[in-house]
Amino acid sequence: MSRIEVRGLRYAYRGAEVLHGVDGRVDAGEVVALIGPNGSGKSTLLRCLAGILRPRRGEIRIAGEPLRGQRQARIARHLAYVPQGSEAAEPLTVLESVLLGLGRASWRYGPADLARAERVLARLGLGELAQRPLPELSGGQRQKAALARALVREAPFLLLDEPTNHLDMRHERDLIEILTRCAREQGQGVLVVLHDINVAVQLADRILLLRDGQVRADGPPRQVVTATGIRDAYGVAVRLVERGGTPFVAGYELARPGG
Amino acid sequence: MGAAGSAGAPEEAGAPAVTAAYARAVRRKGVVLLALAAALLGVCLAGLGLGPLGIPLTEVVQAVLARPLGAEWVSEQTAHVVWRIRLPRLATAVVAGAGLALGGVILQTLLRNPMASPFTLGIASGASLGAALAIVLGVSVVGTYGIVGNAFLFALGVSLLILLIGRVKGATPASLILAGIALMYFFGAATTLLVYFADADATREVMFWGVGSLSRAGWESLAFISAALALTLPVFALRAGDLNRLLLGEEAATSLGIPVARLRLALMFLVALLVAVVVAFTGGIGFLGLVAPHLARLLIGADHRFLIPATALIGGLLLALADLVSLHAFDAVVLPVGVVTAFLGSPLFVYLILRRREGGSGA
Repeated sequence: MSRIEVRGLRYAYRGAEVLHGVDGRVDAGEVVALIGPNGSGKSTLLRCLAGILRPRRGEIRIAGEPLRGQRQARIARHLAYVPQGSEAAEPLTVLESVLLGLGRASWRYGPADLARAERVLARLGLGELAQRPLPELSGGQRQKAALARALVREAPFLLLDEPTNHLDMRHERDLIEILTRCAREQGQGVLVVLHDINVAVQLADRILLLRDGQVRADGPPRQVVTATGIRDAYGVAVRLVERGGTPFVAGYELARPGG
Repeated sequence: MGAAGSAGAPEEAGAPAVTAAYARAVRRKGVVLLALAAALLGVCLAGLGLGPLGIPLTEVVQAVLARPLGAEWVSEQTAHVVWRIRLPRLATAVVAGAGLALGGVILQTLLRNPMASPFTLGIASGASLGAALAIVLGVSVVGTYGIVGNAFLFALGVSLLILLIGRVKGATPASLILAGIALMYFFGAATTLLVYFADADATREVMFWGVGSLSRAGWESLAFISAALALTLPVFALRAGDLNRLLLGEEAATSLGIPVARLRLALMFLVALLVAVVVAFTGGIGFLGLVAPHLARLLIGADHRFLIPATALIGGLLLALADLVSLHAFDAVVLPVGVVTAFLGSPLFVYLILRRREGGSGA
């Protein structure tokens, strides 16, 4: 089966180690949420998987092939990656930017390419914005354009870094539905970094909880999202309620001044 | 999107419009490119006719066509003025303008910075210092070629230095530009120092590199700059897709399979070559490399498949125009063309920067 596998992965930025031996996997057809406090190494892990950072120690295999020493273009064939925040320095239109997600050699786009881009834009409700320059869009719309660029690749694996940033509640729900369909209908493996634990619980088949560069928990949402687990990882006491067997964070305790 | 059935349905229905709109946009860009080419041709024909010896348009065309066809349609004097004096200078202006503008657009994308250009990065001033060294110290042994070679070595050195600074310090695009500006001042000071100790002839010569002038343009400069363009332009054009992906950000480009560091190194090398050859023959003609790409983006958008040819055409057009102004603005005096491009270019650049701000797309 096609999967991303990580074993004993370590990564250091200029001597400061951020990932201290991470193990994990993402299977085809499943949605995995990567959660953890700020600075726990979530984005670093995603960048390593996307081939942007090249770790010296540990192993990453995608569909059985080790990532180490592979050309960027070869890695790119397996993946679609949406980085945190969406850049729009120059006025590419939404459609132009989505077409860039297609194969690397495309100097000319044929009718099939355009039709594929069109389908994705329609699916994300961006059809009307196709000819608008990216810098004119709102943060949420830009985030969706970046998602469209990833979806158009139809890659076996989707890696998304905080894709719910800038999204309002409706678009957040839409994103959950879209990613779920990617996994169920297209059999894509989805790994998504999230801050909102409740979104993670609703979206993911499995949650990886990262803290201080190590995986502290890996399992179904019910198993990972516990009051103790969250307190240990985030240092926050949360109130959890259960709805239909799924845990929800209903709030956290505040240290009251003078109380 | 599955958001709401009511919102989803019209989107699906309207989807084929996207392809049609794309085709329209591509056609429009084609028309813009044709219009720019026509404008360039018009300016060139006007430029060949203007001067102390006014030549009517029909005669200009005849004079240009007669030589390669071996015909004698115009007087010897007209043929001489067109082929010996005006055409080499004008053609040099066009290719030099195209070269500087191309250098600018490639640097702006590679370094993801709208302020990048051969000048703001110190590449042109490095080339000028290289040329000045060859002139003043007689470092060059083979005349013009030594000056060109020196200019290239210095331009290449500066480009590599900029890349190195970016790499070692993990610098942002902004800090690269700041480093470039520091280099520009350093090379400017070094050139001034050279002039200070040089004799009068060499001083005049070095001044020429500083301001930028087409006064020595001829068939030789045309051949050199054209060769540099012929070598670099096809590579830039072939890499248009990669450059487009770079606009999405370095991480996004990498994840799309672009080896960003290698692409940067290779294209910076070519830009250094192109800029050095232009600077060696024309000196430091300012603002073209900065302004032409911005004008091109306004006209045709950021897609490099169209932006690259548009920038080259606009660069050629602007320098040809500036040269006509420098030749004909005052009856008795020929201004250095660098002065004209600076006077025309600086307000234009300020306008462009303000426009970008309003558009909310400042980088």
